[in-house]
Amino acid sequence: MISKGEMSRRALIVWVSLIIIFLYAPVAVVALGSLNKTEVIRFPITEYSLSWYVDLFNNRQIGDSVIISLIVGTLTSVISTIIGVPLAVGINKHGSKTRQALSAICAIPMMTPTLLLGIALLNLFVALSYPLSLSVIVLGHVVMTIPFVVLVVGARYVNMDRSVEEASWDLGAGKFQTFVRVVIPSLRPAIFSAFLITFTLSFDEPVISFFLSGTETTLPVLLWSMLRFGISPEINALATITLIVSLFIAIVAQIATNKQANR
Amino acid sequence: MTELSTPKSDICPDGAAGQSHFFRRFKAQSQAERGRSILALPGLLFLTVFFVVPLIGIIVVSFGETKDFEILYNFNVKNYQKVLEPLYFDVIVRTLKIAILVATVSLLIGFPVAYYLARKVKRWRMLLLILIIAPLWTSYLVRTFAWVQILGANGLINYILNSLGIVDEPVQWLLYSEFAVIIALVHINMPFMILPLYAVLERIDVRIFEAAYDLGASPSRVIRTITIPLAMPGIIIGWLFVFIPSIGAFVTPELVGGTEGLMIGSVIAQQFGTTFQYPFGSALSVTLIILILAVTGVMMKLMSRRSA
Repeated sequence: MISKGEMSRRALIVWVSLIIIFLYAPVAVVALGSLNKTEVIRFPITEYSLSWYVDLFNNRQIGDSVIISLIVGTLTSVISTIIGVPLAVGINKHGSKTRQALSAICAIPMMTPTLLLGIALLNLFVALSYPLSLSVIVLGHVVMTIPFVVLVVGARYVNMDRSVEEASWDLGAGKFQTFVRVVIPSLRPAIFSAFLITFTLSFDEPVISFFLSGTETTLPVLLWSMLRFGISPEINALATITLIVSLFIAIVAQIATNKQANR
Repeated sequence: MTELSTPKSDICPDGAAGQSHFFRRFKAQSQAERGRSILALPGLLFLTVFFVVPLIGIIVVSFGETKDFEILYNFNVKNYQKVLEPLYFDVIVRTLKIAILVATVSLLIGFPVAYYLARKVKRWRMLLLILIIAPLWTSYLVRTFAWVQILGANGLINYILNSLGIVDEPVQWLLYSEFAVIIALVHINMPFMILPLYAVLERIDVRIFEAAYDLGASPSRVIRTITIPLAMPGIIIGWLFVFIPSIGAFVTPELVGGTEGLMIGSVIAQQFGTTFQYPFGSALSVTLIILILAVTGVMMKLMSRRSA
């Protein structure tokens, strides 16, 4: 006889498995679809082929947008980290009341739908008659990602041993010197994580990029306009590649964080 | 001889004994802290200029109007009157309904998962957590259009239903419907629900449960009266983390919603596109913001009332 506790435990396991399948089924479908030989997406898949991946390599438009997305992503990560790390440290130095208020304020861009971020910035630049371009997109992405940097780095700073910082002051180092030579190195794993998170968020971001695009555009925006005409195995191939790259970065980030944290 | 003088510190705390202990500590503290707020200033300045100001700009523009591709900033409420028209009002109501549904369904589906992770498993916990977080690192655009291939007339589900003999013709309402939008949004935002729930549930002290069981409470009673109230902050936060992106969803409804699943995000996006109706789009956006703030306020109220 199975006890009631054991039964509910098994039910939970079944449920969790179903949810995991739910989370990954679309990923599997995309990956499978990229191998479909026929142009039209339909199940069952009768013939398999890697030809779509070959087509991808020859697609100039896609290649260009990938490069643009890489550039935008890198710029976003760099700027977001440069602004976000001092912000995270500065906020968390305050007493709890101020710190809570400032943390909440910094978290708001993370909580606003990207649609609103995009149109608000678009409106601003149109009002200022400032031309849209890749730098404008970077700006939008930075606004979107700063809260993540503050969150990740701030959490690490709060758990950091402050006595090292205080020792540095006692030994005569200036505030800024301490920040650069003591605080930042001990935050390195968190900064690295924040950098990677920001990069992936920016690389995959369609909405803000859509509104702030000038003549050139990022990969998600191109993907978005391709999707409007329908789905093809070529799109699935592109999607599969981006999925693999994203997951790879996620794993790298996880390993790096664990390795450095255990030092 | 009586004492002619009382100790100096009673009469003047900051007097001859030097500055009082409290004052000296305060001054030393602020000297050490003086470099601190400067660190945060550039970031706060940046966010003010590129986040707060644009949002204020939206509010300002919402009271303007367009004429021949120019935006005039005269003060009028024509745009808000237009928002209240049935055509747009219905979409707003539908958007609100969908967002609430998505968040609530996510909560119901995700709570058992978070509970299992937090309380029932030790060895596989890291792996499961990574499995659940990993999709967040991937493009939601990709995950969304995958659903087109699953729910479509030629898609995976119809194929399964057909080959099992359950249906003769493909089921049409799976895609390009409210149903599709809800499923897709639940799927995309699921990790945002599970993570806060997990964080909160993981922190509950095991001994509270032990005490409850010792006192004779049944498992369902424990969950009702202890687990859920203690988890309330996580529940509310998870709910909001799913509700807010859902109500502002734009890409997902455009890909899988069709006309039935039209959400306000698409309408707003149109206004800032070729139609160049910035003032009206701004009015719609302000309405959306107000909705978000209102629902968030209600939820926060719930949180403080129901929490343990």
